[in-house]
Amino acid sequence: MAVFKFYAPILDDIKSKGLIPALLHKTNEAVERFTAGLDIEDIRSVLRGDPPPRPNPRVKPHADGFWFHMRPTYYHNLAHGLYPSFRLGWFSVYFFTFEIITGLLLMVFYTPSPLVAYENMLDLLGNVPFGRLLRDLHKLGAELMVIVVLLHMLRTAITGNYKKPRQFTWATGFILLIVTLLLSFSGYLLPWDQLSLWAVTIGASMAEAVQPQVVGDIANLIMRGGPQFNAGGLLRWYLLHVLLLPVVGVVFVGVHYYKVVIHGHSLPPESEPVGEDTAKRVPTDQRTYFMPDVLTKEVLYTILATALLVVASIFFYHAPLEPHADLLVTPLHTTSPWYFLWLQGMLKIGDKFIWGVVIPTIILPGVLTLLPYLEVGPSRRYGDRRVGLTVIMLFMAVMAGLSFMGTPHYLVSSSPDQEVVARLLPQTKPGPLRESDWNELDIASITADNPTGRKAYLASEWASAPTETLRELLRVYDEEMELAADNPKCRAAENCLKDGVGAMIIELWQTDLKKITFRVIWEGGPKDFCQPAAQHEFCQTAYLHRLSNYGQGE
Amino acid sequence: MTWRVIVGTLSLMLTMITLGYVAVTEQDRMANFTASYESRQVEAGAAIFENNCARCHGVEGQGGGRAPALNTIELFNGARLKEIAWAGATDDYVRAAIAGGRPRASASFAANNYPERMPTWGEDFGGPLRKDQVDSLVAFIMNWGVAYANVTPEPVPTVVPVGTDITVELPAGNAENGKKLTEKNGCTACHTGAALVGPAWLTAEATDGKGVGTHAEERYTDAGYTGKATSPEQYLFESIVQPSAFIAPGVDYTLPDGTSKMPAIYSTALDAQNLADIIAYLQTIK
Repeated sequence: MAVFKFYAPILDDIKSKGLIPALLHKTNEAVERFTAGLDIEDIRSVLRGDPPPRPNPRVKPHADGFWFHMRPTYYHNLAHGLYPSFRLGWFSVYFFTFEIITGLLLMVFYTPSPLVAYENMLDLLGNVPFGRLLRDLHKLGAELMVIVVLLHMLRTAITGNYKKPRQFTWATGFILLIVTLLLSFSGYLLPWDQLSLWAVTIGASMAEAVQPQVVGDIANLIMRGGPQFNAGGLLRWYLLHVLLLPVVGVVFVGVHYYKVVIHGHSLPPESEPVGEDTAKRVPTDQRTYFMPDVLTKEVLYTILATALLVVASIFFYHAPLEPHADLLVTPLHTTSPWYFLWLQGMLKIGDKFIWGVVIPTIILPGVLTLLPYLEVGPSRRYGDRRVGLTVIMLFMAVMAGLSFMGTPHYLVSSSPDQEVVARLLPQTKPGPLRESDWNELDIASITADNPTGRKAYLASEWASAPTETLRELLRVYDEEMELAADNPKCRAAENCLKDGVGAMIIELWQTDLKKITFRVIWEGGPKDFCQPAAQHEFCQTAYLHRLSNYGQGE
Repeated sequence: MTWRVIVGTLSLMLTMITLGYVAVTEQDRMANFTASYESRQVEAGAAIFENNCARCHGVEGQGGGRAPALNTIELFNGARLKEIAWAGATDDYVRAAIAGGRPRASASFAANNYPERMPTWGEDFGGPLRKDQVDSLVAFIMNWGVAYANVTPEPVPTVVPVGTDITVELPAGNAENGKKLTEKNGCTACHTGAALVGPAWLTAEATDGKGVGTHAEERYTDAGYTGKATSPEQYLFESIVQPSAFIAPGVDYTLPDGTSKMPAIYSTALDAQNLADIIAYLQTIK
């Protein structure tokens, strides 16, 4: 008797049915097992949009499969289209998934260490095929995810969906908003450029304000990983970004979606009687089955959104990369990311502890979570919610105002002379000078007396400059000088530039390297040229290489 | 349903075409970025140079009373490298000099008597500059070399090692250059001065009042001599390239394993001319 006997049932099938039919049958069986109930013909009919046969096999994946058991078998006709939800919740999950996929790919090329993190960014841009695309996609996806999640929340508030019985859904959604914001913010630090270091430094310095002082000190130490941001801090924020926050996010997406399905997708406010919640009782003639309509739409949204992201990342949007992080150099006009500008604005109002810690972490979340318990009227119709809607609109207006206050335009003391130069030579982006045409930065002819071809231009004489690039740069310079001579802000600070003169000096410093010095003087200025600690003078130097090409969007 | 299929298919095609476009242009884009980053390093290096280096090395690297000139052809045509027998490339030499500094006066500029030592700049060695900043500085300094590019460079020096065979015929030696070489190669650190490690060279420092030249003349004929030299020149040759062949009497110059404390590296580090120069110099110390 043989110890081992080869036995494959398919051989019997092939014998009895023939090769092709047997293989087809086997494939069909495999597909049916994989989809938990749909065979190839069923899938084709779903994609064709045929009416379902009776009994409907398309509900089987919902009952027996893992992925679809989370999705409802059918939606109300009024709740699955772009209106009223704009599918913003679905898009939030899309972006979350998108960020996880692009993020995992980026992790391959990243080491969370201050010694190499920035070099990793340069490698992504200059050494990894599709590296820049990956980085841009991840960054663009992150920005859009914040926008989509905020809009999702706003839409929910406006249509009153947070009302009973969905208060807890709203609370989990609020946690997801926090996770989204923190995910986006923690990702800021990882490239280890100036932008990341200083944005996160602003954030960590708020923790320092927590009272009593000992708690603040510990919170600060935990966030920075030491007295100063360095290897320890970077590693912590990295782990927060790739491990803790995504895990919390996945868990709460689960809870949030579970609550959504339990309560049903709520209908537009005007379509159900006041005080009634009919989402769970969808009449047979009002049903749209998940398969095929909702499924195919979602496949379409996925493909379309991905296509738009890819096209946008290649042709229109590039993630910024500033110079290497430097704890000794604070760039002028550093701000937090746009979605935290309101927080920076609040810090300018008063006490760092009250406005930077208590209100944003206790009062605001408290009010927002309690909102559904405060607005208790049964009606979700706009006409019946004047107070609620007014409060929501006022809240938005206040946030917009605070965000403006967070920008450097509001209540940041600065010297007008520095502002003038920062317009041409900003410290947080390339700016007009670096992006201008190197060859058109005209110098004098090089002679024994003038070995560097040094040539000075006055801002006020911009019209007579020899090249178009210079005329444009000097015109902006002149404009800024006029602004610095008199504006409300400098009048208040009493530091307007009286009798200001702006000069721009260009020299050929090395082969292919020009030195550009901006010299702003006022009230006569000092006698000597650009000496340290001079009165009534501000000098700033920039070096520009012929091939540095700042126009690539980084 | 039809329009969903159409829009979806078109979007998918758009994505694939765009990715294909990236795949085709990616090599150029990466090369462009690398080139522009290198140019930006020159810019950053210029600012660092102005703030940290210009005070001693001159605003345009022309040198001055405090430190040697950097904007000079010797640095870029290989002459400096040859002088100090640096086997690497110029930018590595510049990087090493910046990062590590010059704790001792450089022998190449001993005559200039610069008042200050070159400080250590690299973060790795306790200085203030990060690696990328040192790299930027190197890029800026190397950019001076572009102006000298039309000058035919001397080949990067490759040391043809003299080897350990002491019967090799050496070229005529230059005692003056030999003296410099003993300083550059660190010989004087052990063989002269208060803290002697090896036998004293100088007549004044030797306990028996005889200089290294005299020792060379006497020792190879001594009874206890274990080497193979048949002339004073060969005795010195052997002492340098095979330090353990015969260890001079007097203080114990051996390591625990019985070999000489003198490192056995000079058969590969010196070429024939340098060795001949050193021997010529040593023979003048009687």
